[in-house]
Amino acid sequence: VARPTDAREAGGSHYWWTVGSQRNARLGHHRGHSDAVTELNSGVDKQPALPASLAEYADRLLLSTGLQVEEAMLIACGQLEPPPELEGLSRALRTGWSAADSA
Amino acid sequence: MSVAFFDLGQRLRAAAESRPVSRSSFAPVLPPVNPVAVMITGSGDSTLLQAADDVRQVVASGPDALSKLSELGVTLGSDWRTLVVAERGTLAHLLELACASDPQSENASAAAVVGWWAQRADHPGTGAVLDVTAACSARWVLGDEPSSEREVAEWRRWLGVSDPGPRGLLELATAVSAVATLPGLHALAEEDRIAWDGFVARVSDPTSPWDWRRRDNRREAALGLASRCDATELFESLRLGDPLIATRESFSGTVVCYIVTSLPSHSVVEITLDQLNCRLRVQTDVEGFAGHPRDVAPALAATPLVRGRVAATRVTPQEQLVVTIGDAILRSVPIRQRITLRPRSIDPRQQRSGRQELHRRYAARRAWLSGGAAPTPRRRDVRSMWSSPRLSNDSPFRANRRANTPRRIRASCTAPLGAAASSCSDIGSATRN
Repeated sequence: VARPTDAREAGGSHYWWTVGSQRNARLGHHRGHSDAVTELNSGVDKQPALPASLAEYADRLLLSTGLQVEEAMLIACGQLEPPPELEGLSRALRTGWSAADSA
Repeated sequence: MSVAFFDLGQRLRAAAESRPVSRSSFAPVLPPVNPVAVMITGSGDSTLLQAADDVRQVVASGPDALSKLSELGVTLGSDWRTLVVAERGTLAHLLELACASDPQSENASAAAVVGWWAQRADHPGTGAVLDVTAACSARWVLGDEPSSEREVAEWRRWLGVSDPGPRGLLELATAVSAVATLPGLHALAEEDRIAWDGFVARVSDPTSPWDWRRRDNRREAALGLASRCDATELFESLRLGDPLIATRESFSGTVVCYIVTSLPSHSVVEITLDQLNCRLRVQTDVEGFAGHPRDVAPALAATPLVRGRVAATRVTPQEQLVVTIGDAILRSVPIRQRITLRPRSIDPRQQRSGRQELHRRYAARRAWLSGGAAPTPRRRDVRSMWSSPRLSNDSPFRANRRANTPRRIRASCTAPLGAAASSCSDIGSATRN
């Protein structure tokens, strides 16, 4: 897997992306946006920030799905309903998200 | 891929809540035994060793750094202790120091303990060495990219440990082992005990020519390899008994959740999987428990509902994966019962008796591993996988193939598939000829 394209310091997780903000310079930004997602709750602005390194990692992982990291986060926490073709992805994200509750 | 999305879901949750989230329900390490934490920086004369236990902290530099370990009570005369290190490289560095020390010096005892730690560190789940970074990664997920979990500084930051020295490592070790220990892991503590007693007896025996610094002989190497492989298999098996790990592995296909759809006979059960990813291949020994992966029982803790072997797999026109379990032992399994299937649990007692049998065989005079001459390589013919029965004998393609096929392969027709490994040299040499 390629290294992140940003030049942040090692361990310097103080660079944070705010979910919902425009991130034009990020990897994979120009791929098609998934229009089929259904937003259940417009809580985008209330979402917490993500470390830049995690956002980069998630972007690479989601490259083939057409989703952006903000959407993945909303799907994971159940605020966004994905299109049927991404059902397997949403199940994995949601199970991972809720696994902390069963620990 | 879906297991990566499962992990991503966990990472996003951890980032959202700014705290590590659990990767496992149980502690993946044994509780440290009278732990001693060690950090090493530099090399040669500039080596700086910092070590601490619950009471004292010492700092030393140069080739005599090991003497400080003796001061902390790391000797063969005391009982075995857990070494706590930030990552595996520290132990390698410590082993270099130990091997370079004078066997007649007062540090010899501490050096031997380091040698024992290095041996046990190859056994996953051991209580002798606690690699803090690996242990924390097995216990939690961070809200950051995966590579950050290889940095002990990241774990300190996320877990709120401020001490950057060996005391901080002890705090991390305490945190990672704070919850209930993974059921079954105490079998590895027993192995540690046996290994320690055997090691001390060998090192302390003045009549024994054995030196822990020397390379293993063939027999020791073979038994050591078996021991390491057993520990790895056992640890992986025990981990699947952790509900969170089982849930995660259900996305990789190692653990599968299914519905019983048919019971053709007393010893055969057909099951239909929820999803298509399944890593349980034909001939894999499996066991199944009622419910979802999060309900899976700890390894060897409960009698499974189903125990058997994967006999066949097929995909239906409705794109469902159907697995047939043969040689099955069923315990009141009704149709439509939801069951979670996993590879059969490893029994540490069987492993131990297997190693004793290996020990006995290698000790026999006829075993070449115990000192006899190495066996002479034998050439055997193998069945050529390239020949096509549809070609007639007078086909020009067949004639051309005969001309280009090595002689030994052409003559082959009877050896079983298991001979493939030994036949590799045949193919190479025949081609060269």
